[in-house]
Amino acid sequence: MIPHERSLVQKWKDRPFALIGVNSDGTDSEDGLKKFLEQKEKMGVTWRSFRNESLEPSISDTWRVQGWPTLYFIDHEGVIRHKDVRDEAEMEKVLDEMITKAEEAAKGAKK
Amino acid sequence: MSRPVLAALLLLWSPALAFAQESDKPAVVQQDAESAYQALAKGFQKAIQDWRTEAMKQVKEAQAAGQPIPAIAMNPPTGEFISKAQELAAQYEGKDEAIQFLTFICKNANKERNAVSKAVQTLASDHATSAAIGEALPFLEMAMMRFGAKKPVMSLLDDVVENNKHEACVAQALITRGTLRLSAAESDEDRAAATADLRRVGEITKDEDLLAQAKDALFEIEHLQVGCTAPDIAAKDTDGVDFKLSDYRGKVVLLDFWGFW
Repeated sequence: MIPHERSLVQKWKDRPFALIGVNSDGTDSEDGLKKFLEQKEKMGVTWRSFRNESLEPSISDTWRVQGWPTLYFIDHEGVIRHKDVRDEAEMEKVLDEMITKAEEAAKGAKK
Repeated sequence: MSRPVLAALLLLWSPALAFAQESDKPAVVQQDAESAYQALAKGFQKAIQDWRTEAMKQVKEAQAAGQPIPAIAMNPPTGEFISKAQELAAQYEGKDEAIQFLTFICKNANKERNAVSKAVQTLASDHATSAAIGEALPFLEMAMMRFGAKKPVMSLLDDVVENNKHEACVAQALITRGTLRLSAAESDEDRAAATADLRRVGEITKDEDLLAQAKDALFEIEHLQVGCTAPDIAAKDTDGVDFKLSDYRGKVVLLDFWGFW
């Protein structure tokens, strides 16, 4: 949830990690966008989100999202490594492992 | 249950939409069943709208007061409509007209587990070879996921695939079975069985809608599983700036489908 996500973004700000949202708050309408931006400010959402409805079919339709929130864990090579991990401690564990691998890969490439 | 999920539930709960149905049954029976269905669906839609308004109001008040989510939010008024649908299904027992009422139950039940289980059983025993069974099949997923009716649902689908003579029904059954096999898949073998179902759809129907459903489900199997390269996304962010998911190659990405609602 948002406070947890905010803490992840903060915790890993100097490591190869990005939280990317696909937001479904109807930001295609002027009113929806205004409300969204207010909430975003209020809730301290600093990370970037695609607008779900800016594509046709919508991104969530293409990705076959059945319920919200849905999470995909994508590694540094763009490969899906986990789905549906929801427990906060478990999320941090798998992400930390993935980030460590990304750092090792980056080091290897520099050598 | 967390707040965003709950809020989404309130918003996404959409009552059954009435749909016309064709049948070769005598016009009087058909019209009676049709108008009974319309009345049921309309009453239900109204009750859900009223409930949603009231539930949203109470949830907001509770949140403002720092109170827990009130019980109303989890209790849409489905009970009386499910009972009514059961009565109507019994009235048209054995006839195609019963299918729409059984579908209504699978589609709209909230806590009425027994009603769903009986509806699935009746669909299996009375209607598996009917030309009108197709409309019911997409809603079996809910029966299976929410009410744990896996075995009866799968056996109904097997029955339709093997014994129904109407190609659209068989295609729909293959799509539903393939999708269900996919969501329950734990091995490559399970996924292969799902793939086989979905591929078969292309061999037996030319219906564009059914073909598109099969294609979307195949996309999920081929591109959205753990181990697949994530499909790229190129779209606008909430500031109106275009960007791509692949811009973040080299970083670990947590892709989160979310909303405040």
